[in-house]
Amino acid sequence: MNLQSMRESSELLTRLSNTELEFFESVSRETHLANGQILFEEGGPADSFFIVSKGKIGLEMTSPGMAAMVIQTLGPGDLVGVSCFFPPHRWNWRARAMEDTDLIVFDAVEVRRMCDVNRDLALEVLGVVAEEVVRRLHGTRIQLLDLYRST
Amino acid sequence: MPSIASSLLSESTAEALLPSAFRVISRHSETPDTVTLGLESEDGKEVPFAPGQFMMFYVFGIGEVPISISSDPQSTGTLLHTVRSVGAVTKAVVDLQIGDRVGLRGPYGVGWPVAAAEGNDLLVAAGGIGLAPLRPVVFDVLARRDRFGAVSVIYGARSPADLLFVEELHTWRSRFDMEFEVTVDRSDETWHGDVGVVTGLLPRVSFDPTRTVAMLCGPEIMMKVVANEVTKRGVAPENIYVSVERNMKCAIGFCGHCQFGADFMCRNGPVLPYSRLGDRLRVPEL
Amino acid sequence: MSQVVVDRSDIGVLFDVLVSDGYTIVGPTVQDRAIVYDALDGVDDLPIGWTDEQDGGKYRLLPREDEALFGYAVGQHSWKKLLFPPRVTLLEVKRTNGSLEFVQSEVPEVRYAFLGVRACELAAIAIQDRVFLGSGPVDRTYQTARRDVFTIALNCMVAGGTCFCVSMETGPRCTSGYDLVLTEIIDSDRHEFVFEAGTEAGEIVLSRLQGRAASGSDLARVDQIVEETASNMGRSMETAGIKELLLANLEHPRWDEVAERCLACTNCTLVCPTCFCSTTEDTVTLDGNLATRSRRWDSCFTMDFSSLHGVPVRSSTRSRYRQWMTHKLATWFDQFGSSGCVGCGRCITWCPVGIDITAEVAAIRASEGVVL
Repeated sequence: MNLQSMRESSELLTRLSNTELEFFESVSRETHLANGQILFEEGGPADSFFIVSKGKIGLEMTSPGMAAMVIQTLGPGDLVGVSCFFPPHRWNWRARAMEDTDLIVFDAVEVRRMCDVNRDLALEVLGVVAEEVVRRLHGTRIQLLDLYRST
Repeated sequence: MPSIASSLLSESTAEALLPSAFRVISRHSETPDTVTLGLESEDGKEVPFAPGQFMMFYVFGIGEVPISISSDPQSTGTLLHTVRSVGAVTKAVVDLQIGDRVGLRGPYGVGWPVAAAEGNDLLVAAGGIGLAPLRPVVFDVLARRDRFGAVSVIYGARSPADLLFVEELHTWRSRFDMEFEVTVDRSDETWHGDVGVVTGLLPRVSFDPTRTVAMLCGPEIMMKVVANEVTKRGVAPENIYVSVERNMKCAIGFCGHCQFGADFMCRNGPVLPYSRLGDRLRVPEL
Repeated sequence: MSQVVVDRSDIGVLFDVLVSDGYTIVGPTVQDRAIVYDALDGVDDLPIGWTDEQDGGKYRLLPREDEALFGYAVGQHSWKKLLFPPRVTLLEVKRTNGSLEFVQSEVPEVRYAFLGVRACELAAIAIQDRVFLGSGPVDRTYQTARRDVFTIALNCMVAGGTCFCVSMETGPRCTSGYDLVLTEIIDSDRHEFVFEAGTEAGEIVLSRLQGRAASGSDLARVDQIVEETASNMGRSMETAGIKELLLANLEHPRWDEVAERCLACTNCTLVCPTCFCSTTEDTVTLDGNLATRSRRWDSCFTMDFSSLHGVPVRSSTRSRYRQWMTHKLATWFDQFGSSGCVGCGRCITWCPVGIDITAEVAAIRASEGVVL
């Protein structure tokens, strides 16, 4: 599918050259989730990754006797499913649509295969993913500081 | 229209330190530890103020504490103060009931540069109780909406139960002439909104960094993080304003308690342009 | 302005004239083995024949070989205790059936004559004038005391062990801000005081004293005394670029070093003639119907001073010492257009562990830009 319109909102797509973008287009498709629908389950095989084009995805953890806890929400332009780039290629969290959501789905198996062959692409992709991971780590640490609590 | 300079009502410190009698006429529990009190002068006097200014709030026999005004600058008859219980005086304030009398003096301090922001896009970023001194900005701006470009408000709270001004938030959310996004650090079963750090809301709102005035209020770390992020997006440090809190006793530049570097927060602040204090925020225990 | 020489035997007339004009004379006197400022009844209350020995953390009174009236340096008091009293009642709050009435407290009328104000002290008073009478609301307590004060300045004949007024360019010669200035001349053959008027009021008082016109050699002797005092300073401080130096070295390891010695006892702020920090205190009567608010001296060295929601911003002694020193020597310039330090040396003398502000500045200057 054509990804040009998504380029502005996605860091990953912005960084790709036109040729690289063509490859990503060839391994992508659209999908739609209704409010509350599960995108992937914790522990499942991480064979895809996603970019939100509209709506909101919540990453959550479940535990016996406890309602699901959303620890992060991701919106338009955000990358969902960074675990697919790293062994053991399994989902660490459950992902669920918090509202009606449109996503671009990428075949992670094909992308990983291409990255094994094309090291420049691998560097590009993993570079963007690493930056995103650092950004989320930074944000999570701020959340951990619990800044808004009463002292 | 009050200027943003400190509004000193008298010539001598003795007069300036004398509170006026006010009565609590309304009380609204925002969260388990925060209330918004409505206060009216016993003499029926009006108190004009600029957004970002604060009053010194006196509870009989206990003491005084600086509290930001959180009401609409257009309604000068009733002042709203949003207070969180964090110490002896604020606990007494939070326990006040309708009909109780207190002493108020002020308003003090340099407020938000709302007039200077006219003709620009406006980004308001609030963290926790920091929304209280920023709410008057939103009132002010909406009262003359056509003078501003894009108006965006982002707000980060601890959890859904800690959200302030819930009714107001719904109103802001449903307006077409401003963007409003809210996020929480930790969620609960009822929440379907954003979860994550407040800077995560920046991509959700639109502002032109080359003509944006940003006003940030919240814990110092939050203001630093948002200021950094906003600077990275191209907003000049001299167009980013933060509100720095310090211990205050006199609020008129004498007691020395509120000093932050060379500035007295009661007279040169609490609102300061980020360009003027960038370095100071990085020195621990300054 | 007239210059008159008064003999030691006639100095009592000065006291008589001031008392008859309704002044309370405040000046140096010996109390608890130190020379303090207190109300004086007559010449005999002065520390006649005493001098002091001062160094870091050390103050001793020693007898002189002569009977000089002003043969010593400054003690732990400064004139701020009269102009900016340690405790002042600001207002009262009366509660009747829940209603509150706020009543401003009266400012006491005082009429002081300050006897023996040194050049460094004149500079300190001028600095506090800018703090309390400058921009913003005026402190009526300070203003009332200050407006009516009759100032008799003193050119020091003794340089203290911790003095550095020369470095701070505040002395030892008194140049302005006084009604009268006196210099004591005591030799084997004479004991006299050279007076010079500084204002009309000073001229009038001078005209009522018994003396003779000062001669060229009298004035030359005054110059000599001042020069000698200037050359005997106990300390010195290099002041060039001091504001930039300190503000560029806020993380210098020297702050850690001084923090190991500093007890945060607040002595330095108590004795410093320019420190002006205060706090407010609220008390209530037992029946709960009357509350009083007072202002009292405070110090940036206390743990409480910077308390924000119960937690101090400046928690470590290191940060509090740094605040005091950088305020006094650096940010004071931004706030009031001058240094906050007049070189009187009190903070050095009265520090129980002898921390020396001149040595601290020198240490940072010697190794500036050092980063751990």
